[in-house]
Amino acid sequence: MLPRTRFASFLLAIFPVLSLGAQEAADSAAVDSLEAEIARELGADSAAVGPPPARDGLPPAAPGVEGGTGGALQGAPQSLNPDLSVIGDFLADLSPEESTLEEGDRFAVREVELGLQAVVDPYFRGDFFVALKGDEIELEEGYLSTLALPHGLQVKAGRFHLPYGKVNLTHRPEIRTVEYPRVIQEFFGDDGLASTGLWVSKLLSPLGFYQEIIAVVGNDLGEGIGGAESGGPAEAGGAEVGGAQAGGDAEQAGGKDLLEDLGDRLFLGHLRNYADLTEAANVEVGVSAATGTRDPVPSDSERLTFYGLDLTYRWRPAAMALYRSLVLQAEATWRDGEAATEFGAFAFGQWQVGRRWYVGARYDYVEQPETEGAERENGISGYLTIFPSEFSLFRLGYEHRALSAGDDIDRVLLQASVTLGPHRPHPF
Amino acid sequence: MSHCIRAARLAGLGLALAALAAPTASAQKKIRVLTTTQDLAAIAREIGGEDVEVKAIARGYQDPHFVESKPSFILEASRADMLVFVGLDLEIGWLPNVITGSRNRRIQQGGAGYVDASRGVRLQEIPTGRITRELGDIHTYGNPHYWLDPANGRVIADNILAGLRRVDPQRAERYGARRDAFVTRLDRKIVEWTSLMAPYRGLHVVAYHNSWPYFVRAFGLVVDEFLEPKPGIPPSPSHIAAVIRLMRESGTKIILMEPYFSRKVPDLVAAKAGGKVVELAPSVAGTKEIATYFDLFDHDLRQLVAAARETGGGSQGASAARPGRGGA
Repeated sequence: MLPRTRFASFLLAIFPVLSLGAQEAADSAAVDSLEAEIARELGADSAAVGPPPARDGLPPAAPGVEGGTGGALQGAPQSLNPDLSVIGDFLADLSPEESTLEEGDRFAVREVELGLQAVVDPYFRGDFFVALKGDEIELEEGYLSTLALPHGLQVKAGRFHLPYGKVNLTHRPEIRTVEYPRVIQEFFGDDGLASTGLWVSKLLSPLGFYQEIIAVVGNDLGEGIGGAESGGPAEAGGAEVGGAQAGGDAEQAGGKDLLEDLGDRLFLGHLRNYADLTEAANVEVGVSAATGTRDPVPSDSERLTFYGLDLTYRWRPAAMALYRSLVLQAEATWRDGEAATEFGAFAFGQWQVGRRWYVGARYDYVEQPETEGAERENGISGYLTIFPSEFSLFRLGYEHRALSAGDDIDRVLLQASVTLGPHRPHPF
Repeated sequence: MSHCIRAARLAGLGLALAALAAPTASAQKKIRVLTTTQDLAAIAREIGGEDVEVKAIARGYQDPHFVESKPSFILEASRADMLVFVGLDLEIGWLPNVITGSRNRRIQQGGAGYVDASRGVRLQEIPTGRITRELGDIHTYGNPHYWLDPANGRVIADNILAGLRRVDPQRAERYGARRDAFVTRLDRKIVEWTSLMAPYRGLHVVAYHNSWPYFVRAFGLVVDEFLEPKPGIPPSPSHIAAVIRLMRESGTKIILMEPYFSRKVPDLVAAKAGGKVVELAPSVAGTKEIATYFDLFDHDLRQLVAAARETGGGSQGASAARPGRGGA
């Protein structure tokens, strides 16, 4: 009983952090409550005879100076430098029983992501994201993109999150929940599915709406992938680019010609279909297929094939875009291995209740026949997210997972995420 | 056998890539102009006339800072001959995705159709000293709401004209003639608007967001304070209370706000301070009756004059000498 009391006290203690949102007077439905707060600020009876307006007490403005002329190139000595941004992603595990973080820690700097982004020349742009996770330094993404190929084509070369479904493309600190959906975690790994290779996409709209077809050929599915261990060294971001590593792989791959080796690699296809239903509402339907091995060296590594379907509905009325929005999202994935086919899916909804407040909920289902006691897992989770500004967020998440063996897991996670540096474009 | 399967896989990939490379048909008579805001679209229509087809991304009643980079906008951008944007980082949260996603060389920076409408605008509120996010979501190049000074309509028109001459030199003369007609009419209207606002020079107002520095400078208003304590930071109770105190003490009656903010706080402040909320359109198409750049100022100044009369504003004598946070 005592631990639960302590836990409750702890939650109460952290609540002032969350109550930042109470300042969000503009969107609060509780105008009465706001009035009461303002009345307190003004002083009970001193409204009419109170102290003179304390301009000095108001926050300092940054009016700046007049001068110069527009045109973003002028007077910007730093403009040839890449945009440098940092995302800090922090986690506290407040689960009542035991922490689910590594080594049972209650607090973790889950990830610090360093972003370097710039246009390289009139033909390419470069985007590099280096993730620091504990003692590991990992190239999360690093790729060149073409800017202006003809016929609506775009090519990316390097390491990138794979365009499988919708959520997998977004970096973890920027998704709408604390962690990726369970199906992504179990099938692809905690950090999602990424690989190194070549990405070719084409825009088209033969039916009048936006379509994009993407084809990727890459090395492999990476070490986060489930399925049989290959025994060989696995791809893991920066580790893969080491010279010794590459030499080792080449040695083990001995005897394969180019055709044979390429045939063992990762292939992925994704078709996006997006349409505006109204000015405020839109829908996106995507289909994905990916096939590859955890590691193509040695070549007897199990080939896994994934088939996916994703559906996203968004509603955000332009006139109230600051205050109201809705996202409904679902993805389903079938994993086809040599021994079995497993299925996983999630459904997620998020409602914006105020300028800085969002509430969300997710249902997860995933099959893992090889994991005893967790052959089937059902989960529900709920999220409360507060954005004090565009550059910081706090998210409280509760997750309940029911495993087929009857063991349940309950987790309470608090996430804090901050962004330093220039404004990154919002992912859509 | 496995060799054959692998070869078939590669052949499939090759076919897929070949399909991707199929050309898209496009043969446009009109120049396709895509703008980020309705204001730029309205001026582009004035200059381009029947020679252009103009589409705008943001709605007039939408906060242009917070537009989503929908794939449908990317599709429009992929077809555009020219892209006109406000610049000064106003669209930083969404336009880069649209430009990069478009794969359209014409509208990439350095392309003939890349038109930064702010070029040549005399900027206000360029931050000085050490710039950090502690100051709120500020714009490091200067305040980007410059289209709200009608004199800047000329600069915008010149930038659009230059862009159209680059992408469609054959019709340069027609564009030039339309630009001259637009500017002549604009100059005449500026005299009319200035005359309309003459009795209200020095009128003190409170504004929700710092959208109006060019507008108040153009028409001689003075902004005493903002409801947002810092740009992009929603009003807090203590700040609201300070603004109410300020309005009570100074006699400022008018609260300017954009239609995309909630009215709860402005209405509350107006009720407590005995003021009036005036909802101004920050852009063309902010309301149904605003179809052109001229309509925008006709509408906003009409609203302002009516509110000033109602609240007993007008020539404010000594009060006009009070300092403010922006304006005359």
